[in-house]
Amino acid sequence: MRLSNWGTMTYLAGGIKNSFDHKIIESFHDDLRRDFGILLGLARAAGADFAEFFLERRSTFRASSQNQKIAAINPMLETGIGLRIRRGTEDAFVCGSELSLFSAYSLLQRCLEIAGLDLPKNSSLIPEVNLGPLNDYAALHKKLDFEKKLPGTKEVAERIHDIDSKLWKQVKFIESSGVSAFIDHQDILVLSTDGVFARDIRLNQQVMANAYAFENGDRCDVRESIGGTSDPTFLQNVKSDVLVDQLAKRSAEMLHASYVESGEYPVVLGNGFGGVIFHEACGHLLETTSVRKKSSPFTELKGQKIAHQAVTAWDEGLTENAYGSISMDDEGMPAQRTLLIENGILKNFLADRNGSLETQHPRTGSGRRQDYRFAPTSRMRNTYIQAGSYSPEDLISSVDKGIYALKLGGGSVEPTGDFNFAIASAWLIEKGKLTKPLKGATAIGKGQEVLERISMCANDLELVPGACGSISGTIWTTVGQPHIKVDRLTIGGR
Amino acid sequence: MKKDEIFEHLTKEAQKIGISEWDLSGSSSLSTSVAVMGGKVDKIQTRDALSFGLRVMTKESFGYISSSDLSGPGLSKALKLAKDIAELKLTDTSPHLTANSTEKFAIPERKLAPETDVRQLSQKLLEMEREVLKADPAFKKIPYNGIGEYSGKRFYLNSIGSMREESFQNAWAYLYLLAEAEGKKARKAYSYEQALSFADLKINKCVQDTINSGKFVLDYVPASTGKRQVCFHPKAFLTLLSAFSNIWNARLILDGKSLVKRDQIGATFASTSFSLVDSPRHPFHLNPVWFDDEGVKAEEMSIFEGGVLRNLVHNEETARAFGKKTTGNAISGPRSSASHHYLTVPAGTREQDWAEEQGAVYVEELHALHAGIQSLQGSFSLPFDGQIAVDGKKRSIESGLISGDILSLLQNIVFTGKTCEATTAGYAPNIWVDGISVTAG
Repeated sequence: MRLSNWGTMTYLAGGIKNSFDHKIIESFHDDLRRDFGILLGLARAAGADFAEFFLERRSTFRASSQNQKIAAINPMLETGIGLRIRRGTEDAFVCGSELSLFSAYSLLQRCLEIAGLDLPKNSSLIPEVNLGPLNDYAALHKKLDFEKKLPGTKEVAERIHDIDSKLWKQVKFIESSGVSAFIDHQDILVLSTDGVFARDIRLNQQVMANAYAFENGDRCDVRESIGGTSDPTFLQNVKSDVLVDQLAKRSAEMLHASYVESGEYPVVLGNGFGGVIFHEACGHLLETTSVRKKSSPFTELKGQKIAHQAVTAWDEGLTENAYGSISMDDEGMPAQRTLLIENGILKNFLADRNGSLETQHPRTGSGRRQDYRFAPTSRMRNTYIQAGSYSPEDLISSVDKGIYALKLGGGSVEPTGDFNFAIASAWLIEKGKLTKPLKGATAIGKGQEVLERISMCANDLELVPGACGSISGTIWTTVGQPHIKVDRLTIGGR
Repeated sequence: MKKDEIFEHLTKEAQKIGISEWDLSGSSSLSTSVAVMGGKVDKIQTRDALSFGLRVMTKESFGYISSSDLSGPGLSKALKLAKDIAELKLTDTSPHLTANSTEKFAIPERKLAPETDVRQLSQKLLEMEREVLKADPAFKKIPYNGIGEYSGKRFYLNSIGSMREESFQNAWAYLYLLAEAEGKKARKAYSYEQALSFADLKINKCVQDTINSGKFVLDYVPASTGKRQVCFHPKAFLTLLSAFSNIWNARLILDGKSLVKRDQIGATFASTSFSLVDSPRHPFHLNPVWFDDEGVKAEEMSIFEGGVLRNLVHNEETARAFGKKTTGNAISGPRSSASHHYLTVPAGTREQDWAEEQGAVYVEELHALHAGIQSLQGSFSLPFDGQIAVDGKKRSIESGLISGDILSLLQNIVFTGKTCEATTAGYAPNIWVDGISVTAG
């Protein structure tokens, strides 16, 4: 640790414009170490137990085609700084959109103020925080030129227009359509009093398509999305034919589907997005965000059986190109692979820095946030139930009368564990066979009860991209599972 | 930069690169919030936010960019990018400025309450937490809670000289209690209050509502599955209706993304007892809206009248397509769109206690709208918090789901109550609807 004499830094109080000026920080590099070392030193000298700056430069691009016409093009440029300070058990957080040293200094003043602290007096000695060399994951993983390799506006527009046109050729009784592409390029820098000085670049891209069909008073809206991470050529390589075929098939099946009858059924949940139930009804309750509030029913159950022995589940940030994969989390910790449940036994929780401090569960590289406007908290990455040994057909044939929930929509879960999910595409199972398509169904249950009822897992694990909204904003995640059988689940219908 | 400096900068820069038509719509805000946990302050947050959308219009096309950089270089960069997009002529829409944007009208200056010290906010929330937790041994924790303030300005400028600005402000507090009694399921009780400022917040009401609700929900009974008459609380009804606002949105009708077709304006969609009005400066709307994102004065407008769909919300471009006058409902974005400001349902003439009929259901709050609404299919399937009438008594429903079709729901409105209530979703009375499917959770 180096010591700076506060006397030599009186310009901080009297001449901010000359030292920490409004000049925009154009790139995140090693030279920022000294200035932020001083700012973090000030925070610590003021009485903060921990301080962390999060700098962000983000550009997003969205283009959409509707009914075979380009409907919207929207580039968005954002920059900002988030700062959090911890004092005892209290967290203070401030943010602002100006990416400059002046802004960082102003935010520090503001954050100290709301934390009940003051900047040190001019005569104080300020121990500067000695940040190590920049831990540059963007350079390490060859992400520095991602932005340059991305397709141009016209190319993206042509690509989505092409997919949209294919929808109109293949979806029967189509009334309207929408195809959009989304590119999210995020460059971040994390600097904190515990010595973290780390940078990463994230690139997430997504194509979403929907088709709305109408015939004889029956309406049907089918949607699909695909996504990629860390691949600038993703949009060029999207398998549009597969996407359009899936939508056309589902639309044909669902347009004249019958409404499901409410009741309790054995349910086979489709692979891929079916994993959203595990994500919502179990994954969130394993985040230390819930555990620290003791609002999770699993709080005291580490090492105990919380699920059927058929269930083994993971959360990790390492699978190549998966939507929830990250080189480091938003607290600068490298990504990890975390075993959540093994053969029904609860093994680990997902912990960020503060969550770990408060619950004593080890940090798992799960501190995540939407952007500089949010303080990080424990969040999921790629979360899935591991594949089992059955075939999907084994699961269907084991049901006498039940529901096959092929495609789930979104859903939500209460702190009590109660969840509900829209089922976008379903089939009735009768005597082990799929007999007719059903619509208007919703799966309702309690996370901890459903985990006990997952009796069979198939061998066809699939991961799909998603976005998860919670207290630290909306982040990119992956959900996944093989086909699974839930012995009993309430299905709401008409 | 101040708004006249922004105007001057954009005017100068636009001239330099040959842009004659542009507009900018945005807002700046400051929000402060506090959360507590177990008698201690947990989180204090202050957010300074700035965002704007800039449109550059050419004869046949337009370009749009959103940004948070209102500095001179930031504006110049945004202008250039928007121009580049406009010149690609890719989109099928071509909005233009409207002369209505320069119409003269006075926007009353609002005196905003000063920012409250965060320590004062935290002390108040700690008191609220303490009051609730001591009210009943079953009240174990309040995992989600908050108190905060939010204030800022909306602004609009364009190349033909429109320059408008209005302030907004509100304060809010909420408590989300988990009640856990021996032998019973964990139950949640929720109360939310908002007002113009911290001083106006009804803190005691928020505390008392949470306590009353916490005790009430512990005495729960299962719902019975089946079709029945349901009484909607005003907030629940307006929340559900707003999720299907494509019905009165001209943009979505033009795009084929509505349950209504262009030739159905003037048709009957709802029961004759139902009317709906967009009321941007309703006395109960905390922050009256004076202008839309195209600088046009926002006006009160009837949407449904006696069940008949009378008017749509328009912006300049959709109004032009329909041969109408813009309604002051424009929304800034990469595709010019429109939205209502504050929905109100006029009071009816009949009042009835919903619990008079055995088995009747009262829907207080709807959840998970992002998942349970199929806005193009018209269907909904949503979990709700509510009550059921059992032997003349109101009992909390353990858990339940309502489902149906919005167009059928509108036709099956039996009557609307006599007393309206201001909610975060708008202003309306209780609304009774027949034939709603209820599923026990």
